[in-house]
Amino acid sequence: MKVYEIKNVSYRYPTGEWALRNINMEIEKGETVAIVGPNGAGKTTLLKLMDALVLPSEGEILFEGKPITEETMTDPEFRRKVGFLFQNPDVMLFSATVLEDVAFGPVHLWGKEKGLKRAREELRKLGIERLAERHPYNLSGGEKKKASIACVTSMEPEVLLLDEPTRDLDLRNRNFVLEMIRGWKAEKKTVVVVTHDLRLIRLADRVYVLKGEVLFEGTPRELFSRPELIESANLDVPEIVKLFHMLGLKETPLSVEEAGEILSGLCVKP
Amino acid sequence: MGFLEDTAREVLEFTTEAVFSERHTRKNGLLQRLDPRLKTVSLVVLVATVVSLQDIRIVVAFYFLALVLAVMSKLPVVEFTKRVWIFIPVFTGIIAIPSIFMVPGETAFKVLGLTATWEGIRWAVLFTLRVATAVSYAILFTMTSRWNEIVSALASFRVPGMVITITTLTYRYVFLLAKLLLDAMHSRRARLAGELGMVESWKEAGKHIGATFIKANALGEDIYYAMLSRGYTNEVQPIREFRLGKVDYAFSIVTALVVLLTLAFTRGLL
Repeated sequence: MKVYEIKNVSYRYPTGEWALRNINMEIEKGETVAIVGPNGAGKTTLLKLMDALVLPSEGEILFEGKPITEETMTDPEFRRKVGFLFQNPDVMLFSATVLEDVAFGPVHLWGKEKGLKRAREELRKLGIERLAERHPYNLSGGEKKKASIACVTSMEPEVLLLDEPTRDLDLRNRNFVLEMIRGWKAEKKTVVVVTHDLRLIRLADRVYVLKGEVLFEGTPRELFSRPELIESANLDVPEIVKLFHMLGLKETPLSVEEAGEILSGLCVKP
Repeated sequence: MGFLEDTAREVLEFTTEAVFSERHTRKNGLLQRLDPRLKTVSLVVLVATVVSLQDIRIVVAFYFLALVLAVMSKLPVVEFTKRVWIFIPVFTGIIAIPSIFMVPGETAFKVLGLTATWEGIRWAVLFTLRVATAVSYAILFTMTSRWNEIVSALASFRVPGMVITITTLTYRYVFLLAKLLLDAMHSRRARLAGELGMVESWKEAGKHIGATFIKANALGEDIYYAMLSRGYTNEVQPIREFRLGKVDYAFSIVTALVVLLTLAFTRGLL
């Protein structure tokens, strides 16, 4: 089943400048899709369009077969199904305490009692119940990110739109986010992630390279086997891929373990 | 660094630390234990009583009552006193000092051709003390109340949801923008060799204000999108409920007695 069908979508900023031109995409239920591209490529704008926060200047976006319109913006069912994790957690934490921020969505959807219950459950699940009564002022970067993830997951979304979720995080917090995404993938949730993080790209079933328009669509392996595309997406090439290219090997391993398996297969036993 | 920038930086640092850290609100003191609704009403009544007083001795008694409440709320008395008196000379000086020469009465002294009167001095002292005492109660309130409690108290007084949303967002914005402005100032300081003259300093301050305005606009849009994404429909649902306890009843009785006795005394009924 197709969750999103993006048909010939273009978006023009109020200044008149085009952010996106003629975008066509299809995202299946349960898929993990990475969107990569250089800064200013329109990736965040695309996520906003998919979350019905802004509407396309041209073209059409279908969500579960129905077109996204102005009514979708305030449709509670759409809001429950689709969660958007913003790049900057500060914009997601606007209440007086973390609990109130996490409960903001659930309380709007299900009322005070159930909303608060869901918010507390989510804080517990993410291991941050100690932050419940804290003001966002007092949180570290990692804590803010976890709190903003809880704001989204407390609404039990089926589709997660993630805007650079590992940006500005230390290794431990990056791993935490990575594990969260692995969990959502295992639960067959649909995940669309805008990222420059190679580890996140490796997790994806499909990758789109965006630069105002779609430059590439394929698997992470296909992307990493095309250095010119990686360059246009302003991405780092994994060291192990570079090594394989230098050695003139045709395979494109996505991890050190995979590279080890390929190399051990090539070894000739004496 | 210029005088203007130094002052702005210090005000921003002070505001960020004093208002947003909520350091004292977690202490187990008298005012922290009070129901926020009752605390709001009591402190408003106390401030209203103070500003209606004409007898300096009674104003001084109310000032000492504020100090007693500060001690009972485990607030550092020196810091509390500093917070009160730091702004008093600025605000009251403008009004109180001219009145020394403008209120008619018996001559006290003459300076630069102006005649100061005993009535003028008495009025200036009374005015300054009244302002200091009223400010003391207001600061007691802010130092012992968490923002979420104040917001919930407003909601229980049936203040419209839209007003509460605007108040909450303003609070959050002031914090985020203060942080942004401070970071910008620190970053410029790090790149500045030598001192700026007064004109240069004003020009730089103008640039900061312009840049902050642009950033505030972008931030505001993103915060609105983050709210919309989580089901916001221009309605805020407060999530806190309060119950009055023994301390609340005791505090209200004492406050009511103090106010009634004061009114009776000032009207010659005692």
